[in-house]
Amino acid sequence: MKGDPVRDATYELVVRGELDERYGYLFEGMQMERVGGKTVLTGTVRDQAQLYGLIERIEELGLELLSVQQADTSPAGSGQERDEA
Amino acid sequence: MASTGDQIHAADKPPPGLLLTKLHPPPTRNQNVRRDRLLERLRPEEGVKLAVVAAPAGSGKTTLLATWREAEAERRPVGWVSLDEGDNDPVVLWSHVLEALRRVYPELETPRRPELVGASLIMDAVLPDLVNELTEHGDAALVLDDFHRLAKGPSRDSLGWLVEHAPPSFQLVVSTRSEPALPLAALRAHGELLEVRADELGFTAAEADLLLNSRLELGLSHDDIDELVRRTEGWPAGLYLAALSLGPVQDRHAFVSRFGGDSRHIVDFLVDEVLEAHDPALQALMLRSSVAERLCGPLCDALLEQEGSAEQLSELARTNLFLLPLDDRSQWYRFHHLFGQLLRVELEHREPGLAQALHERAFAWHRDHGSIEEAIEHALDAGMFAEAGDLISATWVEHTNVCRYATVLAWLERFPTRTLESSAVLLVVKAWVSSMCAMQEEATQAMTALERLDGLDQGPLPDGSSSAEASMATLRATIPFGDVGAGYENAIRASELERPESPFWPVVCWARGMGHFFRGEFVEAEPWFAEAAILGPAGGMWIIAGSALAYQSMIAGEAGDVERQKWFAEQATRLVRERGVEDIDGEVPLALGASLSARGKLDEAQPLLEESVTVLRSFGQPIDLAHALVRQARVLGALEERDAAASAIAEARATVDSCPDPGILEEWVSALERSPRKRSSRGDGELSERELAVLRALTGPLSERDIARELYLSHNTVHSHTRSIYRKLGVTSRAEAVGRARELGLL
Repeated sequence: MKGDPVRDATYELVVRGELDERYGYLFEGMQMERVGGKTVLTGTVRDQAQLYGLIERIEELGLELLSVQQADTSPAGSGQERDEA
Repeated sequence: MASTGDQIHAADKPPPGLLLTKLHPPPTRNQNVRRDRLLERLRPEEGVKLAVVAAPAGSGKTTLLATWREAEAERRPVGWVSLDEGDNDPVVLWSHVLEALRRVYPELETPRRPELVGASLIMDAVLPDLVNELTEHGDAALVLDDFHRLAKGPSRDSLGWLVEHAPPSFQLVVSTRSEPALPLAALRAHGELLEVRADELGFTAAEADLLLNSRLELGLSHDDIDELVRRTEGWPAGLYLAALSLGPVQDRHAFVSRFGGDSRHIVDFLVDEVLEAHDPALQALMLRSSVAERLCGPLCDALLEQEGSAEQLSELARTNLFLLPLDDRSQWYRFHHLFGQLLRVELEHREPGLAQALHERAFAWHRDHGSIEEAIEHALDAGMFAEAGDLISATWVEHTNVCRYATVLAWLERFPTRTLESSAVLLVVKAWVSSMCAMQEEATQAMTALERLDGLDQGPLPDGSSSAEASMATLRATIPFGDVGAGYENAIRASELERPESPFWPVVCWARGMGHFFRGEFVEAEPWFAEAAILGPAGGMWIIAGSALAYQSMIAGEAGDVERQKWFAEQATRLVRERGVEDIDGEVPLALGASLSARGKLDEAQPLLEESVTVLRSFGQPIDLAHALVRQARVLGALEERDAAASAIAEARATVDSCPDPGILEEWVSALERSPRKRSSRGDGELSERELAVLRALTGPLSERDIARELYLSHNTVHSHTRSIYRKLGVTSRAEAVGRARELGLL
C-alpha cells in the first residue's frame, strides 16, 4: 500500500468544470488553467501527504476528479517511480 | 501504575465534550423531496448487516438517511451519530455511539463506559459487552453520518470489528464520500451488504420537478427543468443552489438559459447568485460564520461583532436548506458541509485574511463559554500557538480523566515541531499523555526534549504543578515503565519539588508509596498511601484514593493483619463503586481478592484476581501486571488449577523479565517458580463449577447484571466468569458461547 515517497514532483490534476481563480488558495500555489469545460491544476507536490490533501480539497468542493498524473519525470525522480498496478 | 496515573483529578464530573447535537439527525423539512425509490432501496432486508450510502458531497446522503430513519424508527430503535474528526479518538466515538443507542434503546445495558475504561479496553471489553447486549435484545440500527471523516486508525478498526461481530438483528448504516474501509468484500460475498451510490442519488427530471416546482414553487417549464438537470447532471446540491439563485429572479427562463450556456463551473456560477439573493447583512453572516463548525446566535454575534444574529440564523434556516438546525430549540445550527466549504472559499476571495481574525474571535468566545475543545481547535486554526498551548496545559487533566488521550495527542500534533520542542508546558503534557498510553518511546522523546530547555524549575505550570521539573519527577515516579529503582528515586525528588497544596500532591504521595512498596518497604510505604487515601477524595481523585486504600489493605496482609486487610479492601471497593471507577482501578479487585484468599475464600478470590489482571494487562505497565499475576498464580495454585497457575507464573516471569528493575517482584515470581508442581487434574479448557452455573444462566434471557443478582455474585464477578468462559470455549459472544457449549455437550 505504501507508495514510494514522491519528492518535489510536478503533478497535474484535472477536474470537470471551469473553476474560478478564487479557489487558488485552497490548492496552495497550483497553477489553474481552464480549458474546454475542465480545470487543470499544475504544480509541484512535496510528498504523498500533500497530494492526498489536494485530492481531499477537490472532494470537499464536490468537484469531479477526472485524472491525476505526474507531469514530468525528472532524472532524480525516475529511479523511485514504480507502477503499483 | 498507569491504571491509577491514568486518572489524576476528578472523575465525578460529566464527561466533557459529549456533544448532544451530534446525536440528532437534521430534521426533515417540508421543502425536502421524499425520495421513495431510494427509501425502498434502503428497506431492511433479512441478513443485511451494513448499508452504505456512498456519494460525493452534496448528493443528499444525510437528508436521505434522516428521512429513512424517521420512517424506520417506528419499526425498531435507530441511533444516529454525525461523525467528525474528533471521533478519531475511539473514546470520543464510542461515548457518542453508546449514548446514541441508549437514547433510542433504554433497555440496552452497556456496563462499561468508554470514557472510564479508555481506548485500550474498548475493543476488549466495551465492544464485546455491546455485541452481547445487542444479541440479547431485538432489532436495532445505527446510522453513522459522514463516515469519511474517520481516518485510518483505531476508531475505524473498531467499527470494522463491530460489523463483523454484530448479530444479524443489528444493522449499521453509513453515509460516506469515499469507499468506507470496512470489510465490504466479505459482506458483499455473503449478501450482507446494501449499497446506494452516486448514480442512484442523482435527481431525475421528475424529482427535480417535485423539488423546484411543487416544493419551492418556482414555476419552471419542463424544458427549463431538463436543462437544469442536464447542466447539474442531477447533482442535488447543484440543483438546490440553482433553486436558491432562482428565488428572487424575475425572468427564470432567461436565468436557466444563461446558466446552461455558461462555461464556468456550476458552483462558481451559483454561489455568486445565491449570495446576491440575500441582503448584505445575511451575506456577511453566512460568509463570516462559515469558519465555525457549529453556530449559535451569541457565537455569531461575537464573530460579526454585532447583535441579533440569533434571529438572522432562524430566518436563514427557514428559507435555506443548507443551514441545518442541530437541536429542537433552534439554538445550534451547522452549514451543509459543502455549502460551508464554498462559503469559506468566498470569504477568502472577498475578505482575504479575515478568516484568521474570525478564528481568533471564535477561540475567545468558546474559551469564555467553557467549550474548551472548540476553543483549542480555533486557536490552532488561527495559529495562536501560545494561547492554544496554555489552554491545553490548563485542561489536559480534564481530558485524560475521560481517557481522551488520542484527542490531546492530536492537538499536540498540530503544533509546528519547533514550537512544541521549545515549549516546556507542551512537552510536559506530551510526556504525561504518551506515558498514560504506554507509548514509552514518545514519552522518552518528550522528556529528552524537555531536558534541553532552561528554566524547568520555574513554575508553576497552568495545570497547577509546581514546575516542569516537579511534574517530570512525578510522572517518572507514577509511570516508571518497569523500573522500580528509578521510580523510587523520582518519587523522592517529586516529594521534595512538589508543594503539598499542588493538585498533584496526592499523586506524589501515592507514587512515593508505590516506590517503597515494590522495594518491599511496606512499613515505609504505609503513611504515604494513607496520605494519598485521605487527600485524594478532596481533589476528586477517586482512583488514586481507591488504589491507595487497596495498597493499605495489601500492606496489612503482608503484616498478617487479616481484619485490617479486609477493612481497607472493603473501603477501597466501596469508594470505587460509589464513584463509578470500579472498572479501571485494577488494584482494588486485586486487594479484595487477596483479602478473600487470606481468609480461605479462594473461589471468590479467583474471579476478582482475573478481573484485576485483565484491567492491568490493558494498561501496559509491567510492575502492576506482574504483581497481579503473582497473586493470581498463588490462588490458582491453592485451588489446584495447576495449568492456569503455570500459565500465570509464565506470564509473570516474562513480564518481570521485561522490567529494567522489577524490585521485590523478582523474589515473588522466583518463589512461585520454586513451588512444587503437580500434573494437571483438569484439562486447560475445562469450565469450573461456578463457570458452568454462569454458562447455564447465559442460555436464558437475563442480562449479566440480572444473572449476578440471581447467583448472588457481583456484576464484575459474573463478567469475569463470562470472559473466562469465552476464552476457554474460544468464542467472542454470548450466542457463540451457548452454541459451542451445546456442541461440546456442556449444556
